[in-house]
Amino acid sequence: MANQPSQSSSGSLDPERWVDQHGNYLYHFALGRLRNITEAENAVQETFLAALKARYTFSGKSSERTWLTGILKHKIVDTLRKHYREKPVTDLQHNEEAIDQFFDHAGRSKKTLDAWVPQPDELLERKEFWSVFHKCSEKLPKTAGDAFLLREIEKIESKEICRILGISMSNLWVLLHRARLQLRDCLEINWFVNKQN
Amino acid sequence: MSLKIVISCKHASRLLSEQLDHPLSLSQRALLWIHLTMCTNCVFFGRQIRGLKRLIGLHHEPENELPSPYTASLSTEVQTRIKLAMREEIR
Repeated sequence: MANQPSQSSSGSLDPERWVDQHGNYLYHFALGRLRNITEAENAVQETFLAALKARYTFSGKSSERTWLTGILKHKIVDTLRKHYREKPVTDLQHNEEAIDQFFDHAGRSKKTLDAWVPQPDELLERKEFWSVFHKCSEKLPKTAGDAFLLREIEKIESKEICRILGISMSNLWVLLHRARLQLRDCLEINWFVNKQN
Repeated sequence: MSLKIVISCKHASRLLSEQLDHPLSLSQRALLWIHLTMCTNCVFFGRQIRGLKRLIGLHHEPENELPSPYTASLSTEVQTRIKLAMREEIR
């Protein structure tokens, strides 16, 4: 006998309840990673359909939301894969130029860096910080942002990211370098206090 | 023959970033190390990007994710569309 999700009422699955209970959560999750309304909506729809097909495989060990989110993560990667197949990366040079902006002609850092106050580790619980972080990540251009997201948030292996984005490993390193430089800088301006200021 | 052992901050920051994704070669590590002994800027840069990587990784663990910064809901039109598609699927 197939295991039913513990939250279902009287043993019958109610897919509409899934949409009501988890639709917005999944949508926001998808928006955060795809940064495109249509793609996010489609990913959520695909997730619910896939979940419906697989509903009898849901063991109830994790929560419904965790299970659905797992499916959504796959759909997000599929969406990105499709996106980059249809629109191959062309802006790698821009990323190199963006990196150059942080350094002078001799390769020295334009800004003087100092220790951050507070330390990043102390910020896990701070909602305001994540709001700022979110705004800073939104500023990352599409390709660098996607690379960063796949690497740091989805924690996908580099080789796989290269396949998804259709780029080489050295291209990926340029994208990640750009993302880290820009993000660090944005967070320093908008959140962290530089000790010497 | 000149042996260039002093790299620029631009080069060092690239190595510090790459280090987060793959092991550096022995020569890369040596060049980076030499630069870091002379440049506190890059020492801070390295610490900060490592700290952010750790923090971002932890934040996105399911049990840690905070409320969404988005306010827009999935539109009723899309919700209806999804429910319809699901009903079709069940039939």
